[in-house]
Amino acid sequence: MVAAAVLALLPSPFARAADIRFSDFTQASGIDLTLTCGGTPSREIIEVDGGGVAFIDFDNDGDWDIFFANGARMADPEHGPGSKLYENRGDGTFRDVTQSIGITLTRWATGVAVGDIDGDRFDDLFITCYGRNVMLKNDRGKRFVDVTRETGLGDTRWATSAAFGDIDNDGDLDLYTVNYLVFDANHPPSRQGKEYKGVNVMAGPHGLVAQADILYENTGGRFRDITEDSGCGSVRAGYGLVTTMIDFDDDGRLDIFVGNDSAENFLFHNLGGNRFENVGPFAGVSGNMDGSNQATMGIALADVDRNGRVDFFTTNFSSDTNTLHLNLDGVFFDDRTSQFGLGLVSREFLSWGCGFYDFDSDGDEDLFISNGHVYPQAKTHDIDSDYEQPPVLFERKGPRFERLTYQGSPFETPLKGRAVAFGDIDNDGDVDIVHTTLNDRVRIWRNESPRACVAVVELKQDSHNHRAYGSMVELSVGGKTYRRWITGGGSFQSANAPVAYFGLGDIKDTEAVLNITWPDGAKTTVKNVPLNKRLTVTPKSFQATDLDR
Amino acid sequence: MTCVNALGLIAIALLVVAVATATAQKTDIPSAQPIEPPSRALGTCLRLIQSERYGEARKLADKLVRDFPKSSRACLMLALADHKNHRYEAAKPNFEKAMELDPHDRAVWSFYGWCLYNLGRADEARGMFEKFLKAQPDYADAHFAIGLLDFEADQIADATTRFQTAIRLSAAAKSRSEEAKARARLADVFVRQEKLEQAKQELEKAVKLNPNLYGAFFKLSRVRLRLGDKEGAEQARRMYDLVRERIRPTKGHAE
Repeated sequence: MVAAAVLALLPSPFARAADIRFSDFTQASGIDLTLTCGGTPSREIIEVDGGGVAFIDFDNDGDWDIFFANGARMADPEHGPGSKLYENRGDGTFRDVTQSIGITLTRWATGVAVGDIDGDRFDDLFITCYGRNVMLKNDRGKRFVDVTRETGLGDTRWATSAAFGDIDNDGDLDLYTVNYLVFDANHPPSRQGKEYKGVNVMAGPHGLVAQADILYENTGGRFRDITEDSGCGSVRAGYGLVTTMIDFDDDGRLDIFVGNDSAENFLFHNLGGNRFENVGPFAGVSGNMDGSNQATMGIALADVDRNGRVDFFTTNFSSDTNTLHLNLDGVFFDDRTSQFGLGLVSREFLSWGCGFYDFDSDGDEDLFISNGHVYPQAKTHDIDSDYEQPPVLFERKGPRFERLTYQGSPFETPLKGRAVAFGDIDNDGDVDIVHTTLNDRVRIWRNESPRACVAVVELKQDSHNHRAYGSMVELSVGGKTYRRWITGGGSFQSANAPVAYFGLGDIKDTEAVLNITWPDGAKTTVKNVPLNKRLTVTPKSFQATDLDR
Repeated sequence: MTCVNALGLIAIALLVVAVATATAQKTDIPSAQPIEPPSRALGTCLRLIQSERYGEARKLADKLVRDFPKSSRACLMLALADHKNHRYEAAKPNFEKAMELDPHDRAVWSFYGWCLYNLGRADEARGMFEKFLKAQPDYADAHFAIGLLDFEADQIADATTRFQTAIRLSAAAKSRSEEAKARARLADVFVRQEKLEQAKQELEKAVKLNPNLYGAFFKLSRVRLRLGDKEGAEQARRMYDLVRERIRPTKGHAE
């Protein structure tokens, strides 16, 4: 067993020389957007998180459009520059369709989740806000209609992240929204006596009142708050910043992870019948290996040790480390940050959105992390961390991750990095990055890594949960098995493209087999899977289309 | 806790300096400016640091550095005022200055090693601890620190040896808290190797040696859980909550 584990950590049999390359494609993409989140410099905690980003194919034309949650200023939180939707022209360039599609949301938006709430096969947008959350129904790709009131999703607490998933396996998408804290823009808390490493800083989150999260059950398009009944309300409220729904113990039921700022993280184990129990401390994901709570900002999921189970990577505050929780057996997690080389190297960064993707398609997943400090006065000399920080790309090299830098990398520039979302904007089979910054330009980083063998797998099923959030996709090829999870959320305040991207290096003429575990536990096997294709798999069929490469 | 021990070392060193300074003052030409500040001033600074009054300590140390520009001890105090306040980058140049002024002061090497460790500069930190051990091979804390760096580098066998050495040396020096933290980290190595029974034994010894080591209670709770001892796990978890509530540790600084 140990030998098998060691073998699993050896370099991929398809590995070739590492060659991850990205270009700054922002200008060429047609997205010229500066997100607003309060003033510059940030003076209050409401002004530090920035806005989220989501991949959504709103018109079902097969390419990924992008939605940005945009904030506002404290003087007028209801009237900011407005959230934006960009339509993909089909080649990775975009045009602003916000107005023409009827999106008029100017409220201070923070995050976004994507899901089809009414089963019409068109993905809708749930937008978390400082102020009333907003549910925008996608009317067949022609326009978005505000259905907040009808759906019952207009809670007014300051929400940060949200995720869709089918928690009761009834075929429709339920929703978990993460709330942060009580903040009155008209009466901001005093910063008197608030110090970090001897530097006077803004107030919070400690000392401010944390807000409880909300779990909603979808009851035919209208949502019912089941937080208390479900048991999710039994925990002491944390300062929530991120959530994901994932079946961590493979029992066929979606569980809920919540990352909290400076407080214990939650892992709500789904007991069935819409009942949950927080097993975070028991499982070992409530804090780090020393029992310290962390300031969890982002989460990324992957089977890092290739034992078949989904592991959690969380991003945290500076002078702390990010944390890799390996899922040992579906019951216990263990903090193995240092084992994989992700510990000390992260101490200088305050990290946010993140994601595991095989950027160079060499058969193992790399890791991208967005960074930037919350305190405008942050300087390395004073608090060991700068205000603007470069994003970090870790390349997986055998059993460890190594920070990748190269001449001409767009990731060398220090930024006020925040949310990030991942998907293939130009349909060439590799994963691109959409990155937001605080009160600064959005960046589009296009993957320019040399072409390698890939498989791009999208799921479709005949239920309201038509993108099959909660599924696991396994690709077996050349004697190895790779796993990806389709989730209805992303890292911090964002939503990734719900697609399984597999990189396979230089592999040729090898028979590939796909095994899908659907949200209801049903399984589908597809043999002789053609590679270098975009594969759309349903429970009973699959279709392969060409990639643009 | 590492720094507490190192501060102890500094206190001893200061006593030596105090004696040396007194001797020097007796024999020096009366008009000559002494190199080191009065030991009383250094002692005041140290006490301010120990009582977490970092701002005041820094102010006093800064004055001492200005008044005694060739004093490595004054530089060390200034560095410590930042170091103990977790401002490692700010502390760094003053550690370097202290080393420059007195290249033989091992206490500075140890603190500087931890400073580099906390800045995530693993290779430089290792170099500093190795330098220390060349001069003083029986210093448990430096073995412990290198053990942490080995663990971070996934050099499990090396980490094991280092932690075992730190345990042996701490026990010989009757330093219970040092032995406790080394045992808790050795338990981490065992957990990584799935040697849960051995991990449990180390953790039980660790919390016995130092009942304030809340992280060890946390780990003990988890190891017992994984071994199927729910009651024992719950007991350790309660202790973890209790001790942690009492200590209210600074986030991210388990050591």
